[in-house]
Amino acid sequence: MKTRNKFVIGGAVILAVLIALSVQGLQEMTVFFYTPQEVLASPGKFEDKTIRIGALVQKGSVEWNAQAIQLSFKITEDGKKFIPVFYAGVKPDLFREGQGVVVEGKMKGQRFEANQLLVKHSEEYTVETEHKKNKEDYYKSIQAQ
Amino acid sequence: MKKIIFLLEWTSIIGLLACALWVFLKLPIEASQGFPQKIMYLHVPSVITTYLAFFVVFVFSIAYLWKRELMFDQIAKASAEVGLVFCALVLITGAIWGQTTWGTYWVWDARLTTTLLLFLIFMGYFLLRMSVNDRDKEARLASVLGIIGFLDIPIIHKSVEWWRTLHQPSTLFKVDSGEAKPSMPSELLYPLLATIFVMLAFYLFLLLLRFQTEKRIDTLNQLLAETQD
Amino acid sequence: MLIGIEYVVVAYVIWLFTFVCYIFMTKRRLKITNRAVAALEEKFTESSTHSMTEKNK
Repeated sequence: MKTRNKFVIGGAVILAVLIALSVQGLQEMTVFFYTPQEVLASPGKFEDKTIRIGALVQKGSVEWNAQAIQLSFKITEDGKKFIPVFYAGVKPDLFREGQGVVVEGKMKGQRFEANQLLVKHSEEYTVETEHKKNKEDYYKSIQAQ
Repeated sequence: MKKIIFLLEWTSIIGLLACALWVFLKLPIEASQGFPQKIMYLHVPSVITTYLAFFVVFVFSIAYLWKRELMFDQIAKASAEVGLVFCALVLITGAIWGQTTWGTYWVWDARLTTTLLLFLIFMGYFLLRMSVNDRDKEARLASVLGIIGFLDIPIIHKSVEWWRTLHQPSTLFKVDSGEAKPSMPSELLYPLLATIFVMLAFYLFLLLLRFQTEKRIDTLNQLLAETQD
Repeated sequence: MLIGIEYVVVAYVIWLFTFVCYIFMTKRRLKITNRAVAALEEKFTESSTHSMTEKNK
């Protein structure tokens, strides 16, 4: 009976954790990040709140100050509306222009101050065989003629 | 039975080693992620195996509730345990991979949260089994939980499409205008498919070994009950 | 060229170690159970033959 009670208590603890997780998880997981458009559309709603924004890094907007360890860039989802991001931290290895990122932080006026920078990676995998591919395309084009 | 287990054990272990050699010695480095992409050859096959293991739990749980055959419950229990091990490894390899590519071990996005939920449900499954003394009652309750637990898997699989997640959508099951088109060049794809195939054989070995053990444990418990009479 | 190799190594080692332990534990469990079953069965047949001889007397 005693061991049985232990399992009942163990089960109850796990159940409690499960419920707590799902409540916390469901809130966060259904909207893991907002888009720049959503944030720009209602600035009052997001001002000074910790949020995540997911978007692409605009090409040519990245400024990396290696001495001060400061990174700034612009993010966008449509290439028309941008949010400038400021991040005081190390640049991740896979951080590139045109890459999808998720930044966590707060809107401070027009600027987003991030305390975490996550790199999203796409489901597309490629190998560096541009040379090979070009060659194949070339032969295909010859055959097509 | 013993022979089949032995054969499966060694072919799958040799197969896994061969796949690992293929992945590390022959494969080109993936362009955007570089070397850490090799974790994919552990992570994705483990995911598929987890799916299959809990699907087996689902099927044999239904079969038990229907036919009340002890063997069905033994298979379901064996598969659940193996599945739980694979599920833990999915979470661990995923966390390591996440750290190298995303820059974090864990986030509470839909894909990761629902996968953790699956792990916790099947932890609960074994706690439930341990807390019930009557063998038939144990099997019935576990079957119900096993069926419910499996229903999390379609949610996990679709989570990347239904919600915004940090986790990328499926590479392997990508569909482009009605056609299955894995977004991966064949030189990276074939070893992945091979590893999945071999890992499923490895799962089958573990399942049979664990099932054998489960049968003997039930025989032992019956003998013990008889001696107490 | 091999940036991040430590992560790959850790992932593969954890995976391998887990299954080495899991297979070892499961096989040991099977062995112990087999032994216990065999011992009990022997006890059963012994006691039954014993009672049979008792009756025959």
